[in-house]
Amino acid sequence: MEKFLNLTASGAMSGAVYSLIATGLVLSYRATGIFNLGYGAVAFTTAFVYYELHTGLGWPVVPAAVVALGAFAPLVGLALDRLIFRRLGRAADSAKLMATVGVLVALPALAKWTVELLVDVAGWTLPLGNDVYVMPGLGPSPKTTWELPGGVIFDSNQLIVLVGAVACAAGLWLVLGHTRLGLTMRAVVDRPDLARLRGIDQGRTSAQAWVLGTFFAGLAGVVGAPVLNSLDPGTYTYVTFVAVAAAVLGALRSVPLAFAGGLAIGVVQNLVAGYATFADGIREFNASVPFVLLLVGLVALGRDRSRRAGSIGEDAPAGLAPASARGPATGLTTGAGARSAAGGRRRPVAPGAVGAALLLVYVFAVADEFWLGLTTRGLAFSLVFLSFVVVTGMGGMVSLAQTAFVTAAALTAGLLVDRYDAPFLVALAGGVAVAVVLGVVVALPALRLGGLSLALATLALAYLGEKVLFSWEWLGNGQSGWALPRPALGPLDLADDRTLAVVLLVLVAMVTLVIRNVDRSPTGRAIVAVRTAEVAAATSGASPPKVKLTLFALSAAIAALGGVLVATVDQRATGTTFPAFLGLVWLAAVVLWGVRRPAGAILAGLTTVLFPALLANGVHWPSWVPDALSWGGTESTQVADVLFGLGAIQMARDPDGILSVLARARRPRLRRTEVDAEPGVGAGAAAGRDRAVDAAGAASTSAAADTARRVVAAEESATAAQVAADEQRLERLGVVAGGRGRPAAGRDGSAGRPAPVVELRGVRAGYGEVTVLYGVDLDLPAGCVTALVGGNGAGKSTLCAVVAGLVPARAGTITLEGEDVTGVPAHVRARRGVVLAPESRGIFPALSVDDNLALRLTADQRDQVYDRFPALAARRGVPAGSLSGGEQQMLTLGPLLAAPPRVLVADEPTLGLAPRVVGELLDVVAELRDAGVTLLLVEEKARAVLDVADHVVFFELGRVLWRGPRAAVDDDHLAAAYLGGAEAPA
Amino acid sequence: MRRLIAVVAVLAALAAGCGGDDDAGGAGERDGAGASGASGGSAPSGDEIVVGGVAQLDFYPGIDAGVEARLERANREGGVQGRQLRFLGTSDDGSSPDTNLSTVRSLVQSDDVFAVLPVASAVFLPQSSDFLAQEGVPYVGWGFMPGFCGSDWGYGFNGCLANYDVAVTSLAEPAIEVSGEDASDLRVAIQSGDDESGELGRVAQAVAFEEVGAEVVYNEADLPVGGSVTDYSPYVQAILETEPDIVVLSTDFPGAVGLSGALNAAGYDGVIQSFVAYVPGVLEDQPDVAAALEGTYVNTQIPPQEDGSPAVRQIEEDLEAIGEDTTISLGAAIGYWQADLFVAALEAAEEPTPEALHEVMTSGFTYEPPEGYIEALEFPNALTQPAPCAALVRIEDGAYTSAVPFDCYDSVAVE
Repeated sequence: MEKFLNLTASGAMSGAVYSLIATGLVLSYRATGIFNLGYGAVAFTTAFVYYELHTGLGWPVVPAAVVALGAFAPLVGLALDRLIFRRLGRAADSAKLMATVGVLVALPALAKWTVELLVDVAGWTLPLGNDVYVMPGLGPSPKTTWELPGGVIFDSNQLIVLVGAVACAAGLWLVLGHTRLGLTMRAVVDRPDLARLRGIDQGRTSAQAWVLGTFFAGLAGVVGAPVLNSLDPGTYTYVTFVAVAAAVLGALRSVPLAFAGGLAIGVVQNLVAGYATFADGIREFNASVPFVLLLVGLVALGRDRSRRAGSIGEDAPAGLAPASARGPATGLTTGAGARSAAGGRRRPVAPGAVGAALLLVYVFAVADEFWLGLTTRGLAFSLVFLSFVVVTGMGGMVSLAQTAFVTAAALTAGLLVDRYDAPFLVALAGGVAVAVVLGVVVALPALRLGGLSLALATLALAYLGEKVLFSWEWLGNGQSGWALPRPALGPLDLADDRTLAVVLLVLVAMVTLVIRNVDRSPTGRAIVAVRTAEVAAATSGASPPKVKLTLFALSAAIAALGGVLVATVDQRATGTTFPAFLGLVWLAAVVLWGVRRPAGAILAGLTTVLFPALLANGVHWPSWVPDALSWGGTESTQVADVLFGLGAIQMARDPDGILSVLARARRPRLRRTEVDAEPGVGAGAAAGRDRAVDAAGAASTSAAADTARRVVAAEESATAAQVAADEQRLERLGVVAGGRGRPAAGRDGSAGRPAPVVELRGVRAGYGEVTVLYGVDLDLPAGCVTALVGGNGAGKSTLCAVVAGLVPARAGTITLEGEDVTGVPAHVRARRGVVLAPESRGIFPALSVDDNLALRLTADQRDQVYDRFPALAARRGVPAGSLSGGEQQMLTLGPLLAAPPRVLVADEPTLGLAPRVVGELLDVVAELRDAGVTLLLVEEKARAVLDVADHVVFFELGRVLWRGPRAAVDDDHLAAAYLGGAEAPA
Repeated sequence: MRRLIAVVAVLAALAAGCGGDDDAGGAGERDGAGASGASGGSAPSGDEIVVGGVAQLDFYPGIDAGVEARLERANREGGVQGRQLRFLGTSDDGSSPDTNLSTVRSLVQSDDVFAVLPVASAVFLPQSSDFLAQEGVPYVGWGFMPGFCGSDWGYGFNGCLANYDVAVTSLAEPAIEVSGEDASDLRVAIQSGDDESGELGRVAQAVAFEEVGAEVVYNEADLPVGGSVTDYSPYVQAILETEPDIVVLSTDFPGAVGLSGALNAAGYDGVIQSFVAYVPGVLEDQPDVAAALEGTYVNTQIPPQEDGSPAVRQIEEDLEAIGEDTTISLGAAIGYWQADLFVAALEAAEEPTPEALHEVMTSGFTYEPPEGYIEALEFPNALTQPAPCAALVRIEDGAYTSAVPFDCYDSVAVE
């Protein structure tokens, strides 16, 4: 019993370092919306800077800590935000996660390289920090040790970590949940555009979040350093992954639970080490414990259910992308299958074939022995990397377990050949079979998990494979591994590098074809269905479990094929060649080129092998080339890693990969325009409306813009005629009385009408190449309700977004109370009193009701709202997303009553509401008008809002068709003629 | 589709054709490599013999100085068999197996080295050593990886260390000597790391201590490696429960530091012996490490500078001659002894070619370094066996002191 208590107590004490990291991870994730796998790298780098200042330059503890934590760590946060993460808000999960891998690899390398340069070039005397086993922390060095009753021993370093962890947890809990800063950070993560509409400066908030995140990472690094027995980036990253388990126990949301989770991990580790004697025979069992906890935590508590497996929520909806840039089903782009933008026909000469031909010429005519060997190895890697195209490119699932498939297959094949003398092809088949089984096992969490949780689960499985499976003597044969001599297959003697290179090239082409065929098959359509809308897919006959298992199995098979061939190239399979961590780097390399394109994977494979060798060996030319163009290479192993970080920056600019940039360059007509906002904010919810426009905004890729352009271009050609026809129709039908209304193009100078608060003059706007608004003139008279009515796809949501500042006007002017605000950003317009209630409710679903209100209101004002809407008062603590539609609309408009804005633009406020609720809502509108608010109500169904409207605007195809006072509109005729007979009164 | 199939077909045809062509020539060349080494380890061009190496430079800084010191002495003395030695330096593999392999390939295929020297890396995996053996390029290094056990082309400066079949009593005898008691009265606890070399240690240590008559009361290889352990108490408790007189830490450096510190803090006052903690310079730079290791012993395979033996004096002299610091770092020591073996073997070879070096190592050669180091290392025995030699240093008042000078003991077969 004493042993048990002793182990528990000391485990909890040592678990504090995990708590310290885990709480910071939770903060960083909640504040930035990005799960930073590079968190440990930030911690390491800050600790490294502290070490260089304190130990290297001999600074006292306080100034060294102040500079490292107060200046360096925040600067890292600012730089990361500016260079990488601010741009990635809407990118796919894989791109977000992989950009953090760039940080993980590059940041420590950059720090170490800087010190190398200071020592080698500038001649400073600094320690390189390579074999530092106990880094002095903030406490006394050497540490002081105490013994507690019962024999528990603890020291000053542990005490400082424990105190630091408690302080951090308390601080973070306060900051995140109980300060304005925390509230705005959570709001930005929840709905970035709505946050802008509520006056929150998204850029500033993002920067604050990253600064806070890196500060706490740095704190964990400096405080925790002395209890980690190595000042080594690998150790920090490893400990961070362990701490991820603690963060997951807090569901990645709760700071106190993450804190407790860290202590729990320390305890469980100790108890396992102390009692699990049954596991003595299993290699690395103790070291596996955190990953088992992580896996169990994810599967049991995988509460990240909003994003189900395979759903890349922010990805361009595949069905909307044009055939020009993407394959038919999964949005996959095959280099060989690129088709011309005009007609969807394939190009006569595929870039893939050209690439293959060039590679052949290189292999046979140019490359020397060394580069030939590396190119061959690179092609085998290409094969491995094609497996990412299946699982991540097509399936949208981030798999970090590919190293496990590769190693398992290679070891199996080696075992069969070396021990059992199996023929090569049998061994190859055996390796693939084992990997497929493993693939299915890894896919099991995918049935339940999605997005980040799945990525972390696969990472945990990869570590478990590395630690337990591959160190199993029977399978791995220790450090020696298995010899896998290159076989001769009929006339093909693979012992020759050139033959092997060609065989690999053929295999790469074949796998690419297989991937493309799957993509085009019914399976491919099922994959898209599951990936984009799992529930809908299930109801329409596609089986999500089957699709996911198929994807993982296929991906594992491809990785296995590649793995056996890498081992064939090397002529040996060992369990330690591809550590689990490498899986992160591999995927990052593929994402950098483009994970949706087989060509991206192929290039990633080649560059992964060739690029570091190029850096190490330099560039050498034949003698006739001037020496100035040659370069001797670098001896530092850090340079390649530093350049990898540039890859992350590139990734932030083009989350779809370098190849998508090249693809755009080939289609000069489709210049990419920075689309920094989605129309109508809730693009996802705009089912069926403004479809082309939404597609362009949501995807912000030229690909989607291309479709949108074509869709709209077709409509545009019909516009002029249509507008004329509609005008005539309105008059003919007697909806508006001839002469009483003003023609749309006319200047509004009507007497007796209040001066306009908002004026639009000749406003044109759109997305990418798409123009949606064609010169809109519109006035919103002060203190009046203007109802803007128009059909599906008229551009109403875009108009709202332009008024609010989410979408920039390309021509024309917008004035607010006489002042030109055309170029003023959304959050500034919001602060000046322009409020947009977007179509899909203006609430932050993940924030509580009270937090939603707190974004705009003081405590007193919130009480007013609760008095007015008792339903909200009763549910003030629940997440707003769980309110009913009516309650959500009340939550949107409620705060406006307590603190009336100058202008309210409400986009389809009545959409989907019951008639009784609509009535309540219109009461609120009337109250707001009485409070002096200038209102623009945008509706598809005019009837709903005519009761409260003072002025009516008919809007069609991006133009104002007619406008005039409410009295000039004949209700019955309007209903009958414009909206169909069903709603006409009898 | 059809077009692509056509392309593939053409490629396949090309492959078959070219593969066939190359087969004839290629096979001949490879055979040649085995017999005459024409393709790989180059016959020295001109007067120079070029060598270059690969290492985890993070762990073995200073290795270049050690190699350079020894090779330069040979050059000052007129070269080896009339040839000057040129050292390209040691490339850092950054602990990445891929980098190690591509460095090794580059040394052979781009730099055309005579031999790869030095080698000191835990990621010098069989992929790398296989390649060198296949190309007929000798490699000389620290033999803790499988490539130095059983390959004709790989020569460890103190033999093959990754051998499961042989244990050496040098692991045990010095520690027993400093305990001051009879081996048969001693209880020994062995804590190894939870990885391949830990497992090797677990077996070899027990055999060595039992061979000399001590009782092994605890023998586990379950300590996670890589500095990731944040609490050593479960291990310390389990060790102390067995009331040992000697605790053997067959772990990596972080494990040795962590466990030594925790054992000391728990009041253990017997002998603690570890194996990797002899890193000259580290105690002065890192007072926390010195504090944790205070009073413990390190069993080291290189003759410690603290011995002051003729072997050590020779290194100091050679380092001084090339203008290097005469403090013998770990890297400098292992680099020096690797180069010393290489020079000695090459001098014994019939002619200065890789094949002749291979011939002398496989047919019979005795390496006899200066006094105070290995008495004699017999090849080809050393291709499969470790040298049963070690010294014991003690950490006292934050500095290494010589406890048992470098000496050689016995080898024992492992059942």
